[in-house]
Amino acid sequence: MSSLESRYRRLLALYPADHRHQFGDEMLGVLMSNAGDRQRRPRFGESVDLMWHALWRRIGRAVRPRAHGHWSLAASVVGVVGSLSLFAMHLRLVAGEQAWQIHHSIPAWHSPDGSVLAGAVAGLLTLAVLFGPRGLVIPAAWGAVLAEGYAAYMSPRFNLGDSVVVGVWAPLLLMLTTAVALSLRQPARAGLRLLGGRGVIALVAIALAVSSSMAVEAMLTRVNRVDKWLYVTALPFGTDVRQAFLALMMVAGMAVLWWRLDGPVRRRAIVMLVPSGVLFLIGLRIGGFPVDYPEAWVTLTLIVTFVVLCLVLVKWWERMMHLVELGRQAERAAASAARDETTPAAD
Amino acid sequence: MTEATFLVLTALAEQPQHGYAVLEDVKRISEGKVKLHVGSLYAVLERLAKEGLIEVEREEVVQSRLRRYYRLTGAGVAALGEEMARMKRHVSVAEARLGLGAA
Repeated sequence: MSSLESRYRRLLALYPADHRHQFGDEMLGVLMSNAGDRQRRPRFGESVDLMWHALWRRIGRAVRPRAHGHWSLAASVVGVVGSLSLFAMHLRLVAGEQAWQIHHSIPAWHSPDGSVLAGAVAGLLTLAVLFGPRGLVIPAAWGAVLAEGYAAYMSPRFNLGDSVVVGVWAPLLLMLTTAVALSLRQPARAGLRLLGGRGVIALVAIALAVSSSMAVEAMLTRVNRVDKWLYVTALPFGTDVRQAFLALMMVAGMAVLWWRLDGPVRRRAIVMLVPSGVLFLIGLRIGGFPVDYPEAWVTLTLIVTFVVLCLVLVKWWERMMHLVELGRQAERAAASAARDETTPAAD
Repeated sequence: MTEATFLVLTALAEQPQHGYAVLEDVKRISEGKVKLHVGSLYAVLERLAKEGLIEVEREEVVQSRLRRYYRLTGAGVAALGEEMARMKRHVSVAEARLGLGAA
């Protein structure tokens, strides 16, 4: 192989594998035919042209998921889960505040200023996702991102100035993930179809449990003040039981995805939801280290690394499974051919 | 339809051709004004094949290299015809406005 050919091959290697498989040899032939006798290197314009088209193809594939690709289907599921979760979380704070006020006549809980607005927009988005036309879903999703950003900005913890808490970013990240997921091209109502009636009912039940948890807590406190277990659940702020309940609901949501979705879609949906989930868990357990602390940035770096690793692992795992399946097919074909050879002819 | 697409379809209008021949023919048809690079040529060929305007006629191996011959489909002939008619209309309008039309 000449040095010119190997240089062309290196440039062609920039194209995605399927394109190389279809056109690689042919393009190499044309490039070599088009080269001058003494040419040792690809021409500048030619190299730029190949690099540009290779990059364009890769970007095109990345931003334009196939109509029924696994990522597209997973995104539609994330749209349903994300909008329901955010609505439930905001409703939990607002309903909790009202319940404490009604049952105890004390302002034991103040939901953040932006929470009512963010909850209302998230509710509208949830209705649009469950029942509305797709034309309404995308504007509602990006409206909810703005409302969520406002809620994060208005958060009392944010206003303290030096203590932006990881937990404040979690709803914003989840809303952003949800909006991007809902904006991708996908079959109409694919998320609802994939989850099925029972899956959607299970997720709505989890959302209801989360959204009513603080109100229920307030009611239970009123009727059973002396009971020890209820006393623990009724502590106004940050009890282990309350945190454990929210973590349990997250696990229950993941279990629903596990139950209702096929492997490739399920893995992709979970990869998309993991960053927000990890932030929620950090927010629940740590509850507020200031942004000035290096631990916050270390945590975020770890999350980003984890997500990238998950994406690579999903890709690697599916490729390995594909190769294993090809191997099995080859073994079956070989065994079948061997059987045919050893079986005496009927006549 | 872009100029490159039009020229590639025109290059394939007479007979099936392989990639390098299309490249040379486009240069000849445009009198050297359009010189397609290989990346651009295959982007056009791939798109046209996807749209059903061209198809692979045959493949052969010459000096250990794959050659694929492309030809116009019926839809490709129709698309080229429509584009020619559109360009002719534009030319006749331009001629009329410049007073160059047949007296």
